[in-house]
Amino acid sequence: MGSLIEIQNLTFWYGEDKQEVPVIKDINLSVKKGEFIAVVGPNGSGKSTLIRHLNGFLAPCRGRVTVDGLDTAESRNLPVIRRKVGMVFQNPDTQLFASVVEEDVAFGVENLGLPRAEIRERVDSALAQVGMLEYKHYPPHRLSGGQKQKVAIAGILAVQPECIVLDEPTSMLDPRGKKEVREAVRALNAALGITVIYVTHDMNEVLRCDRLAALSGGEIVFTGRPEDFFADRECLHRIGLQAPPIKELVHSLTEEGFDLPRDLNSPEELVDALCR
Amino acid sequence: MEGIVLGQYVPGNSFLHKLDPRTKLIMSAVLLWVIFLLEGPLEYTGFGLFIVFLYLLAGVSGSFLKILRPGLYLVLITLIINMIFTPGRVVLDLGLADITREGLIQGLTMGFRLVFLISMSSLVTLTTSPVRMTDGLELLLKPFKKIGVPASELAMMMNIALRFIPTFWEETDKIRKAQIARGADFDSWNLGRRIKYITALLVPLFVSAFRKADELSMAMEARGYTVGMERTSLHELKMNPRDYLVLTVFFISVAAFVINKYFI
Repeated sequence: MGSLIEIQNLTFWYGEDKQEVPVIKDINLSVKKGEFIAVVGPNGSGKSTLIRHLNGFLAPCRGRVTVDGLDTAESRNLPVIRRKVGMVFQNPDTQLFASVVEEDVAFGVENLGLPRAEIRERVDSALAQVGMLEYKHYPPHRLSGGQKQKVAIAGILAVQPECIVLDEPTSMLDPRGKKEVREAVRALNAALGITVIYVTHDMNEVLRCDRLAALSGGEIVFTGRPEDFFADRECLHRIGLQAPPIKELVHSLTEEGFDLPRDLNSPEELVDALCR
Repeated sequence: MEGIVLGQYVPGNSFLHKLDPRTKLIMSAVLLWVIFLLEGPLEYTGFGLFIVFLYLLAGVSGSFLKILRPGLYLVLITLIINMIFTPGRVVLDLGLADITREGLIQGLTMGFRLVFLISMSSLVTLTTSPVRMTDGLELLLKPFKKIGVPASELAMMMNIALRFIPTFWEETDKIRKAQIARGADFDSWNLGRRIKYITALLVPLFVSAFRKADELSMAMEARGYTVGMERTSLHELKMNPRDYLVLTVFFISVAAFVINKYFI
């Protein structure tokens, strides 16, 4: 599989003053097609700034970001880049702006200038993919937070992007909403092969990603499998993150002398491994 | 609250609901003009009955009083001021102020005009969903695009404004409760203090509105929206034979009324 997004030596600082401390320092990252990659890091580590480069909201101060070979610094590439890279934001309330769900999902497709029949078809299938088809005539303010985020995802899906970037999509939701959104995103990645870049600071959400990139102070301090990340306790401690409870438990058990594999992601798997 | 929120729209399946919003907008605009042509008790009664008929036809007669309530004070004040301050033949001597015959007529005329205006324009919002209304407005304004009227942007703004009314109600409620928890007293009889507390409500509300607008514009941009672009639309408004028939009958009736009044 080829790479979809290439980030080379990306450095960025807000404001004109070159003396200012960069928010992002010399980042290199390449995202492969169909990959599920999580971006983690504490608050203020530059996660949001980094992903705002992926669809050209921000242009690099130094370095280069390309999407499918298109440079995000060139403004004439932006319409195509934004069609390829969809973005879901944190607050579900400020992303939906139509007074009916299906109108909102249609918004992005309407911007493409497609014929009406095709819009209708794409809207319905996008809503079906996230399991929200039955709500298509609802006003958005009557939906729960998780449902709103799923509608927002459907709105991106309808444009048929190659990649979806989610910026802490669950941080304002209750546990049930978190789960709904997480499952919807995972299904998209598995069923449609859409590349997912998932930003979060909730460590429970990154257990099943293909690859993980950890940011701290504007620099990438780790990229690799999530198991390896959580095994490196010293690194975790240094950047101020904590492994999810299940990983902590497995770690403690290993220290007590149990021989356990490192890729246990749920209590059920742990029970199976212990009883074997 | 839901009632205010959705622009008073009452869902239904009546003849008026089924008409294209453009038909309704055009007709109501013309009728608002006709209101100012009315003269004499006969014509006023006729028009009043016509409005009552339309409300019954639309099946929204229940909302009639609800819609008039906010305007009622305006009507009463108009009536009283006109009765007292118009010079003419005195009908009733009240000492300080006299009610004149001319004033009474003037007051009633103005009052009825106001009632007609409110009920006529509400009828459109009562029978048209906000989405169809903005679509209709956009299409009606489209010819004016050539002289620089940003028709689709205006429709988009109206749509967003309607969508965010409930969000801001919630926000207001939240901030109000937060300020009450900090000791604000919004029911204070002391006007100065009350104004101070209202400020404590409005400032955070505006800040939050600007922040929301910022996030919203980013979300819209991320989905490929740029101002002035050509867009297509999910829903199509179609003028049915019904609409053409209604418009034809309507314009013939209005023309007949005007010609009868001024040229014969």
